[in-house]
Amino acid sequence: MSEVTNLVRMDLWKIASLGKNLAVYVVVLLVFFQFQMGLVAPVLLLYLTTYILAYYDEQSKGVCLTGTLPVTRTQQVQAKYLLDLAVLAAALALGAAAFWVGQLLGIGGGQPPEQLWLMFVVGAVFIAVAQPMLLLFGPLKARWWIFGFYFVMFGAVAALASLTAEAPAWAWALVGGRLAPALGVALGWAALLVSYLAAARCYRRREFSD
Amino acid sequence: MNAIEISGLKKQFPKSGFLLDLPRLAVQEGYITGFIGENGAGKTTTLKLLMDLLFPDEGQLRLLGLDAHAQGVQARRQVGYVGETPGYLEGSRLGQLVRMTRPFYPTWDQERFLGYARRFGLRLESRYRDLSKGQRKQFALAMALSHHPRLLLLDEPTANLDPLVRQDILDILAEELEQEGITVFFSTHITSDLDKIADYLVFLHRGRLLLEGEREALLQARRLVKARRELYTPEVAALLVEAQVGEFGFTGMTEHPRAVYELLGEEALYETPTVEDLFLAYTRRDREVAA
Repeated sequence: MSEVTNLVRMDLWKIASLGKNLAVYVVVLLVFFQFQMGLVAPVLLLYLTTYILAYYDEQSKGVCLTGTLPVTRTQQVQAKYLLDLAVLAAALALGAAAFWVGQLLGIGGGQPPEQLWLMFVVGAVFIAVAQPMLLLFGPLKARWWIFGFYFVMFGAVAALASLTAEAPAWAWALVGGRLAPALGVALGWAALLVSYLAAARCYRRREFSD
Repeated sequence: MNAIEISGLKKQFPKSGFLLDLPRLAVQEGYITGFIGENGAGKTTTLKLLMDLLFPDEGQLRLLGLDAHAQGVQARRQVGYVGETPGYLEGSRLGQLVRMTRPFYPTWDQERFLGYARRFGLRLESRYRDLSKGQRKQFALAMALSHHPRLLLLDEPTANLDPLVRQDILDILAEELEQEGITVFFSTHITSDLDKIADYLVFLHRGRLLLEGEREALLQARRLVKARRELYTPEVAALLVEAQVGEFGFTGMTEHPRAVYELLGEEALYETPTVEDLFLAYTRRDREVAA
């Protein structure tokens, strides 16, 4: 486990070294929270940390470093998913914090606690789709798949918003109740597990000839 | 024990058609072995196979007695590797890169690293992208040496460097061998570097082993023969590995210097070849055979 935490720490150091660019993006993200785009926020935060990190890493041929360290391919995959989960947790915490700050100041924004599970599901699905793509194809080749996921997700969120405006009371009761959140969180974790197992299996066989 | 053992290795790249075929290769522990070949010969591929970045189609690779794939983690803990591209994030400071990397090596020696940094004039607050080509190699070498590896794998460590930096790197390799007993296996196409420090040589050409052995023995067992054009007879040609025949004279490499001397006597010049002479002669012969 220490090698996995060392790999996570390495990624955090790399994120820190991206410095000012990433800080600007995080500020922009916090502004998004204010305009109630909280459901998209975890995806944006995950994109900024995982994709941009992978992009800069690929430009520097980072695999020539991580691939030659005394760690297994499985440990490398574990570290990526752990970091993603940490970022997702941070996004949820930011969403909740923005909500409470907005309540205190009377300006709204952020993510109400009863909708945090939706944020989790959106983020978990993003990780489940994007991380294997990044690991197997690298960010340049994977970006089209990830952009495609963005479009589908934005479209689905917009469609969901317009549909739920006309939804009957029993549907709202289901969403606001305990069943949907529990199912949603369970599905989110299931997607992550399947994604991790598939990514680990495939990444163990990936070769780096470049 | 051999530091590196390769047996029955085959690796094919279907898109390019390149085939790396090494039936057997053994690198002795405690020596400097030069791995020489032209561009595209398969040197980097061999090193990547040893570091488990690529997987062989057939065969086995062992580092310090450990399977390079099944026991790769234990093996890589004892190996220092400097590839063509080290893979450091361009925007990172050197101090950050050290902090990122050293936790993976229980034998990391920070004082040793700082010693190399001082020797190379590297400042830890510098960003990696601000280093020159030579400084990047020096930094990568310092990182590779700082965890007291038993085996150092270097992929073209002196390529594109000025003579001063090249000599500095070669000096460090020689010092490491003397003081730490480290084994060095480095690939290069700069043959003059091998003349200076290599104990053993391995020649690779188009994915196949051409020649290998102790450097001095390889050089002393052969001679570069130079004589007038008219002395290039079929009997002489049969004794030469290959020959360059010009309008007035010929130059050829022979593995049978005594036999050639019996034919040509004092009419020819007999020079001890350099590593470059060896490499050129055997690769040219291989190309002629292939043609």
